[in-house]
Amino acid sequence: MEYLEQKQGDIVIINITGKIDTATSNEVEKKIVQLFETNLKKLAIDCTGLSYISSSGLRIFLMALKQLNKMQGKIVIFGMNDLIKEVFEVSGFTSIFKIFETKEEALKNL
Amino acid sequence: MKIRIKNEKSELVKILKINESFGQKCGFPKKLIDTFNLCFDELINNIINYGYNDNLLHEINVKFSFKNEFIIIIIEDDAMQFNPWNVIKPDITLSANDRNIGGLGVHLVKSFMDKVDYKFKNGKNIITLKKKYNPSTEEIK
Repeated sequence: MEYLEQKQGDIVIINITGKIDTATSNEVEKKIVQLFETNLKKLAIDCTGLSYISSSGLRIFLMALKQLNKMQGKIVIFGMNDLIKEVFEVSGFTSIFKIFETKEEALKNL
Repeated sequence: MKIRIKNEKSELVKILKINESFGQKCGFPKKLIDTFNLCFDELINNIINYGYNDNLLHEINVKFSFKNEFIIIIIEDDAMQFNPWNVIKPDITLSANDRNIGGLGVHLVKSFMDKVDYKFKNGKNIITLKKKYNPSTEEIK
């Protein structure tokens, strides 16, 4: 798993490559929690390089969404492959997250 | 193919790697290999983390086979008796703030597999997963 952060104005784009599962989720969670300490309001998650997300990864996405809701912030996700899209659909996450195909669309909606 | 792992967290990575190389050798599409990895992550992690109340080493056996267009995976362990398919399905219609993640892992496995089964026999939990796979009609991704 590789984790990269990039700032674009007041938006933080995080790019996670590999998989978010039991073995890697703690590390991802730590990084995102650190981001919230910077008073982040706009977060975009780039899934282009992600193979899959297990329920331990979904827990982190949900934590980020709840945190940003509390702070009147926004979160968008883009670049999901078919498997991740299905994971989100089956979990009912499609209805609570703003999901886009491309980075451009996603950032426009932040 | 049979894989034997210990009930240690580090062993999960081993099974994911074996699944990947076995899947590639069999010509499975990447999505299918990742789907199995997802299922292993959910189920075996539960067994290792919650299945044992002693500090002893135990074996978890995983077997792959093919029958009538189905890939069959059997996970066998001597952990406490536990039928994962009895876990209550989480309410996936709640708003984000009312959501809880409990039970979602098992729900994902059930959704991605075509058939699932559980038996407790001779002191062992036996979980069976079946996924339909026909290489001639499957789109290679």
